[in-house]
Amino acid sequence: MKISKQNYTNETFSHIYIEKDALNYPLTNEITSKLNKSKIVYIDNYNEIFSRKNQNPFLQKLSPSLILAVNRGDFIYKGSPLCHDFEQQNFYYTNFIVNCLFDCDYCYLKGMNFSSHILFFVNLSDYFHEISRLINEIKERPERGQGKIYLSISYDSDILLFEGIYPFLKEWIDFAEANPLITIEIRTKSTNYKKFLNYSPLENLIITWSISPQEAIEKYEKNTPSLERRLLAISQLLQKGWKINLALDPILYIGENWQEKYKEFINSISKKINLKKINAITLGVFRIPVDYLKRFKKFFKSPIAFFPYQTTNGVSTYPEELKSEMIEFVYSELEKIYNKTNIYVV
Amino acid sequence: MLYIISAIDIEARAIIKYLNLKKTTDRPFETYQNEEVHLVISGVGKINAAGATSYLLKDTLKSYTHNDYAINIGICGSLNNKFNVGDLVLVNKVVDYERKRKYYTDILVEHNLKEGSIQSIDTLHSNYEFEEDLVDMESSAFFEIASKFLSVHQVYVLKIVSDKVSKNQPLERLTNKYIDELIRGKLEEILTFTKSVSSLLKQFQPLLQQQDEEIIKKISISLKLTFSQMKQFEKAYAYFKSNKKVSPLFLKEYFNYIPKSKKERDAIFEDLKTKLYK
Ligand code: SF4
Repeated sequence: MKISKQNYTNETFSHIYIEKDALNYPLTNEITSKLNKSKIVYIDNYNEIFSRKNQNPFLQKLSPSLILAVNRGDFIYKGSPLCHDFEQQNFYYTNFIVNCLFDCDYCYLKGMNFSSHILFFVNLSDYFHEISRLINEIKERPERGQGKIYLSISYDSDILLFEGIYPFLKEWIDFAEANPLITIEIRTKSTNYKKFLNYSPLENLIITWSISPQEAIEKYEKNTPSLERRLLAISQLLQKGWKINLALDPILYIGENWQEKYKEFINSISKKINLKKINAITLGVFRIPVDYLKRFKKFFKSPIAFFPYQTTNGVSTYPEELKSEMIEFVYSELEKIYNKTNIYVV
Repeated sequence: MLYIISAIDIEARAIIKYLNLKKTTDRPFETYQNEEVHLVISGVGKINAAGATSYLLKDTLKSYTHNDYAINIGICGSLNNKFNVGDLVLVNKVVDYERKRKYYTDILVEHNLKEGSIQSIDTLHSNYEFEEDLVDMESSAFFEIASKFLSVHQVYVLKIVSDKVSKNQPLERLTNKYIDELIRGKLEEILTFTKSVSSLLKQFQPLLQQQDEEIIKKISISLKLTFSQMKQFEKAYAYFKSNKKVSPLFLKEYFNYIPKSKKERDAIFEDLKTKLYK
């Protein structure tokens, strides 16, 4: 998990800010004993650190601190229209970890949050409680969708990065196993897949790997594993029978010859993994709420922030013509090698 | 630029001497400076600290560099056994005791200093509760005001423990010589810390610097761009710089070009935009 540092920046998690209420949860102890070199600072409420306006999220990425807090607010949210719901009506997401150690230039979290410090909510049991309540509510009202819930649990972070210090995976796997009416989705770019080998694959747990051409990874997805390593992780879990989706999302404009590069990329995927075994593929071009884009421009120096996007209904994305061209091109390339009924466009 | 705030003259004396700072003003606060450091002596207490901080940091808002940082340096009392007399402590939590406000610096920089929390109180005579590790009379006001000018990773409190405070015991009177020696003993460590902060801050420079703003302004004037064109121009300029990692200096050619008509201006403008978005 260590990110290479300039010698004058602190280690990742050099500081842990702990809400006094979080001390009542055993998970807090477990996490702090694993990070026993970190300095601890007690706080009353995580927003004292997380939501301050006068921070610099760009620099914080060099040395993120950890915040341990109790979520007292909402635990599950209705999915955003910017994301795909696989034609299921009951698409929800939850976030027990907020922010990420990867550093993608297009990450909407950088526009949404005032801080890049990593926030863990330690009252995981309250999440399970709340989700069970929702499952029951939906069961009683079959007119709402097919009585099933699709829940993305890594919406505001790449949670697999943290399994070593916040052991959540077993609990979610147990929960999925006990609750067949819920499908849980974990989105990741990490290659931290080995933990899954300790469990039997579940029909209702999907791992979605987000992949991009290697050139885009190098330019815009700092600290993330290479495409090759991601594909290797995918093929390992596919062999073990895990249900895996691919997200070609966000598709980025990577220069005038983007078509060639995406073509090459799609070819390389089909060579490295058995696409027939992939459960679904989603496609979507870069899109972001315009207010988040404003914050990108204030702090970040990536061309992703300054491209002349078009904004409709508060969402900025590539101009319509380029957008359609990109989607159509990638779709048509994929269609040649993958069953199109399982391709979803966001 | 490093901005230093100390409450009393003797807390700053060693620093002024070591950095060879020259006195610049007497009123409303005594200030000293050289090319890299500005120092102010605020006087004792939160109101003085707030006023002096504000006075000292007023120019940082104009800065394009983001290399500015402010440190409150001084002595403090220790309220528990975590720290000994003579310890230099980087404060990670500042509490305004009377107003119950809390401030946290963002410690992104690596250092070997001890860290602890401090409570700032209004008067030394009141019978206050010992809630944090240390106690002083300025840092909360300093922090509150400084973080209105700067981001929290640019604001620090460095304190040297001068005495142990115990309940219902009268405070010792500290001599000037004693305080001066305490500070002098920690000068090296203080300056090592400031160097690290300064290196970290150099990592973050806003995309558009003063030179860029000047180019944008000059061309907008000479080409007589409309307000909306100027805004578009700024965006295209930023795209070029973020993409190519250099400023579009080729634009200097247009500095003295005066278009003969609106039509010509619009044509040049479109051409400029195309070049910048390439
Ligand atoms: S991996 Fe996902 S959450 Fe992490 S920085 Fe990249 S886009 Fe954001």
